[in-house]
Amino acid sequence: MDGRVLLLVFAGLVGGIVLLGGRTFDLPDVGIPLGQSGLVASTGGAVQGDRSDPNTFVVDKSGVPQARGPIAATEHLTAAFVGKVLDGHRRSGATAPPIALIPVEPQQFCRFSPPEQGSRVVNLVAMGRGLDTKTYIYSDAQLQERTENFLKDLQSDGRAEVPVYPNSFELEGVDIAVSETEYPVHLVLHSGAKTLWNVHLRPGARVTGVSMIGGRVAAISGLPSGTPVQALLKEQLVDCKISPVTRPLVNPVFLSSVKIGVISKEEAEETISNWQEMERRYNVWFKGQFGIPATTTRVGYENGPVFLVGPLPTDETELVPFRDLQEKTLLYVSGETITRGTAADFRDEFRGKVRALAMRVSGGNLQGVALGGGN
Amino acid sequence: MGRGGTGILVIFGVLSLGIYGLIYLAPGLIFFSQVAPMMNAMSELEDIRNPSGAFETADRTLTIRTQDGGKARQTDIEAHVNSRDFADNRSATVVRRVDITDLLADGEELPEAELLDLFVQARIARVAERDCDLMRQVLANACSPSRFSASSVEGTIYNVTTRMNFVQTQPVGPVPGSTELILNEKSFDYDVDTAGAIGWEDQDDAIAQLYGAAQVGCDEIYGQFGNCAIKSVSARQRENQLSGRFVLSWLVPVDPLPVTASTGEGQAASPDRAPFMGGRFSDEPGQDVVSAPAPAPAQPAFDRRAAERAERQRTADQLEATADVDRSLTPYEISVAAATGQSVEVPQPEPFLEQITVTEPVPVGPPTDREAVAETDVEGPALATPTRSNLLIAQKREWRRQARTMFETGQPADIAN
Repeated sequence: MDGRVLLLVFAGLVGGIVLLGGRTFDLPDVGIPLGQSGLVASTGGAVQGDRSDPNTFVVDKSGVPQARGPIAATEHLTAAFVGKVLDGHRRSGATAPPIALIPVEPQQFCRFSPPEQGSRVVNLVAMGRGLDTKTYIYSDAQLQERTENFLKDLQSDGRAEVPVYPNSFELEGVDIAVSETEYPVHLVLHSGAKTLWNVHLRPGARVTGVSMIGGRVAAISGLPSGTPVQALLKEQLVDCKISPVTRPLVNPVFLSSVKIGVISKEEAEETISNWQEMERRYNVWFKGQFGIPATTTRVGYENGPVFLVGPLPTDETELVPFRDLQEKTLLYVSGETITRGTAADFRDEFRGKVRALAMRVSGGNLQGVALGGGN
Repeated sequence: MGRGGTGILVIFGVLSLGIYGLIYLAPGLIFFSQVAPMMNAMSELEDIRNPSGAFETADRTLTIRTQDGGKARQTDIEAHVNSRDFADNRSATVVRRVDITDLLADGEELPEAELLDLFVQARIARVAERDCDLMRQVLANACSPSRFSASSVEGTIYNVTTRMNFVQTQPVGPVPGSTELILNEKSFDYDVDTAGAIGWEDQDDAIAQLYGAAQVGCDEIYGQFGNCAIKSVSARQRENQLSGRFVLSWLVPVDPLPVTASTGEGQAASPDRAPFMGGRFSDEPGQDVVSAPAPAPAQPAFDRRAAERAERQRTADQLEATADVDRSLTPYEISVAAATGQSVEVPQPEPFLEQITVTEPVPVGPPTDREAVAETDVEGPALATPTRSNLLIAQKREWRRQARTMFETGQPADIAN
């Protein structure tokens, strides 16, 4: 074969890897032409979707609807293209951290203040990874664990390194576009472990309160000053014996297990019965707090970090203006340490804390923690 | 475009699709092609390294077996024979009870409670060094801590565990002069009464006694068989005693029985040599030591399997039906209805079991008036509308009734509907 042909084949191979190598594509959020079909790739893989119908980018993954394209979850049992909801959305997340971090006192009781009379309650569920936020969280337990590993490394092979991966500490951004101007809205937000809710308001939209449920941290930005924010973190929910149900009871994996006989009928019946009871209890509690049931009102896709609250915009004048996190302050509730900055800033800060703690517990002599170091 | 260009495009397309497919199949492929074989390989590692229990010395190749007639593990053989170096399987584990205030430097104070574990981790190298020093005094001419860790018992009292590799002081003795040997191992318990005294020196004394006992035991075996190794020693300080255990190993030849070929698994027994059975030799030449495989179970009837599959499918369908969420109203419509003061019902899950036990909701703090109202609002009657789930349950009940009638009367049952 001609050498040039081989070279071209090699170039084709490299091109194939670059093009199809599982990379995330940042599709433009706006201006998706109607009436076309195309291959759209996103976090978690690619699907064939119809660019005139955002619902074709929703797939069922183990019973949970999953976003496989630039779509927003809405309250209308239909998806919407992000470009048809938010004006100027950044899919890759924040380029810089928020202006400031403002702590909010945690709830003292196992309940929320009732939503303001006449407010429309919206129940959103964050699932899956979110967007970059340049904001990080770590607990004392994590710091101690890393310090212990650092000490063990010193003891075993004398390595004095502290590996830190900022991504695993970074809050995960979720965007809420509020287009609702007819009613004031009260946001009920079911958070993941470290969700940061970034609210974008259409002129005329009003948020009368926010109740955040779950997570190690409750973090929100983009609210007008004075908006009441309350949170029951995961730890408090456990203490309060509240078990949020944010996903469908039965999923295909469970059903497959029943079909192949891994789970017996009796076990399945008992499990379903327990799940139903758990869901019933949560619905009762949720309605007592917010006046609406939880199961039939929850909105959210796995891997879908954008939500629309309110009517679907019908033209460009109704789009919700996007404001980046770096222009906002962040309110948060958490018993853990929250910090902001670049990944390098965080890595340096965390490493410094690990070394400082190791130095402290070793009595100021890091060499002494290793065998033979006491001499 | 010429033929060459078309060919390149075709090659490019095929290869790209191949790569694309590989990326998505990669996890499965990696598991089945890499991980699973690796796991098998690990489990068979001993066979690969030592297929016949053989061990080579400077002047001969030995076949070494366990007391049960199996192949001795290479690491166990090395722990016994390689007496001048550390061996992975020759180790001592000591669990001391330590008051961690003893680990403080002069004038130093303990950190806050949540940092005590870290504090101990930073100091226990000294404990490990002490353990090795003690071992060198009594039992070994070389000792190296391989692992050490600590766990809280109560307050400032911690269990500190040190694992050490060692080379025993006493000579192990020569390998018996035979080409086929049995590696014997025996475990001995040895507890030392410490009468509640758990100071550093008290524990040192008790551990030294244990080491001494292992040494004495090994000397006795050495006197009888000409070789002995201390394979492992473990000590754990408890409230009133030190619980100890040591394992000794020694080699004995299979002679005088005239056996030179092994008949381990996978090897045919030579008809003129006695096979090796459970550490003893049979007088019946050629006896098969491998158990005959159990008779295959009767094949289950195809129709029975099909019926079971169908039953499981029906169950799955039933379960799936219970998961349906009422979507007759959108979340937006429910939200607007609630905001404008209209009634919003909580849909109750359909009971999957015929008799579902409904317990009271968990109290979550002082209930508000609103909560109290909500409780009464949502505890409505069961749904009257027949659903897929209810129909399936009814269908099954009917099938059971028909089956019972046929069983009792021997006649087909009347079809109810």
